[in-house]
Amino acid sequence: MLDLLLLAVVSGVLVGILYGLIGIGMNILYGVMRVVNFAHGEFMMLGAYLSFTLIRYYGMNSIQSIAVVLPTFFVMGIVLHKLFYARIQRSDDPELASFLVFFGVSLIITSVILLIWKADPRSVPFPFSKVSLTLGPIFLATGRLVSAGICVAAILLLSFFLYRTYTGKAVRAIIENRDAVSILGIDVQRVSALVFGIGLAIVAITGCLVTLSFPAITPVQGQSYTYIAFLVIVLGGLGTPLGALLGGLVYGLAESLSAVFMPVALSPVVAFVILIVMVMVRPQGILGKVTTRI
Amino acid sequence: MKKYSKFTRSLIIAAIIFLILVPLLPISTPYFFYMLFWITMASAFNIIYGFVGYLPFGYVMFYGVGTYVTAVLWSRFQVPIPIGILGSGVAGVILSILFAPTLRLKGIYFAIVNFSCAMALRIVVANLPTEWSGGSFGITLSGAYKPTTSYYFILVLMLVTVTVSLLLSRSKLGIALRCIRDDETAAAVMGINVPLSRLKAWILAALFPSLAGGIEAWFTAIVDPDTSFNLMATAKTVVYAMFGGLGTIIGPVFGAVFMYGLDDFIWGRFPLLNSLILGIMIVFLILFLPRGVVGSMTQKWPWLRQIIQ
Repeated sequence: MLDLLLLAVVSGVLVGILYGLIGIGMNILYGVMRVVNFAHGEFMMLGAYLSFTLIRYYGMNSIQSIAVVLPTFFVMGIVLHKLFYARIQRSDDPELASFLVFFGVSLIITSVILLIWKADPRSVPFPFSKVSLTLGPIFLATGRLVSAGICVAAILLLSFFLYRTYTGKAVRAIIENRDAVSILGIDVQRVSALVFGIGLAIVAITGCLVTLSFPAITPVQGQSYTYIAFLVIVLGGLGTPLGALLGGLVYGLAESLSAVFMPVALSPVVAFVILIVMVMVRPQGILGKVTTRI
Repeated sequence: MKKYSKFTRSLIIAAIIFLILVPLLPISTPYFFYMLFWITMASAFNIIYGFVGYLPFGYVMFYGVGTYVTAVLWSRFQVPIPIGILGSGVAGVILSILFAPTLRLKGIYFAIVNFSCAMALRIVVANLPTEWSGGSFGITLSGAYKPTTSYYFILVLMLVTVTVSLLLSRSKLGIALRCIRDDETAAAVMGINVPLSRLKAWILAALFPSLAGGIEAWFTAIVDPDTSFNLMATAKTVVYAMFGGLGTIIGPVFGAVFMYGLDDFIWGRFPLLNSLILGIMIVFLILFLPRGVVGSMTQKWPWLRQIIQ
């Protein structure tokens, strides 16, 4: 039993880091632009399918495919920003408008995936010779270990950008107070476009890595990753970029521990219960600060 | 103004007479059944989103619970369907009161939590003991199948829903709700009981889809968790209501009639592209027509308000 618990904790942490990165991608968009990306999971699946094609037909592996998918998504993010952002900001309620627009986008992406790659589940070949490493009583899945490692690297890189570079500081300043920032002469439009690109670039990384943890992909999976992203950012605090990592860890642990103690079919309910309780009790998230917006 | 309202009234009466005659005419009853069903859904949704500004993205849960209550009451306890439909309404009201604390949340938080409630409910219903809910296969009601009677039920429900929202928009409560939408603090300062008014709107918005769910279960004679808690039902409700124009009475009705027709047409012609087209329409709608057809028209030509209201 103790071994089982230990195993659940380890795999919860490894997957939790990936969930954290998924959340960070969504959170940075919300924090900077008040854009609720309901299509987050679908973008991720699009990334996973692109990665699948690169692996299957161009002989790459999951990690190499990031090098192609990431720039593609970065450019796509900037294009989407040009198309949607100004109009969403002008509407009566930008947050809800963006929520609905991206819901539409999620339908579009799912159907495009269905049209191109068809509905059958695809499995991505495993790139490593050893499936798991043994460490005393614990089995570590190699794929999850590698994906967690890359996620940590991406998070470190992002933190460096946000906390040590001039542009990154501008991004955080916009999250704090966008009106004051434009008075100070920061070009909010340009920073937003960049953040949209970065947000989707993070989605691209998670899309390529997700197949290392869960090798089978289907077109309709996107929605469940969108819920996970929501959950993670609400746990960590909406608009607090790195809080999502904590949220991801909490959710990863809750998911793998509940699988030990409860019927598997009911384990998603745990996630929703956590989300509902969290929003009712502490809507600003574990790390979030209470801010009054006027 | 008199001239217009007389014209409108005769138009409405003609439409109702036509709808009463539908089952007798050689045209597709299911088409009109679903048209009325979507008018009900969109008009009820308008009460909470159009008037009060709360977006319940798990709106489908009221409909889903409605379908299940009628089906379970009939299949387990042999309750006659019409009483079962009332049971659905009661269940919807209870559910809305249960979720009433979520109304403290605003904007996107409310939408996300409501959405999660619907997802959680779907998983719970699918995992209920099989002899209750039939598991993931659902329940068939073929023994109670009466399409014509259920058609008249939905017709009455649609008329009631539209009338209630019309009366609501002209009542003191309706004005209070619009005040809350525009500025909650100011509304509270003016002496409006914000939580209570909001709760009333929320209960009304929950009641009609639950009843509609019960009637729809009767009409199709089958209930299963995937259809009953399908996110697309919420999406369609939102799109239909928004296309017509939120916050107006005629808007959701027009939106449901027009968009359902279009949707049905697209389904028939391009079954594969259906959700692609729906997605593109949603994006364009929000970006270019956020106030809907009716809303944009009255904004441009204010005199139209006289005919429309």
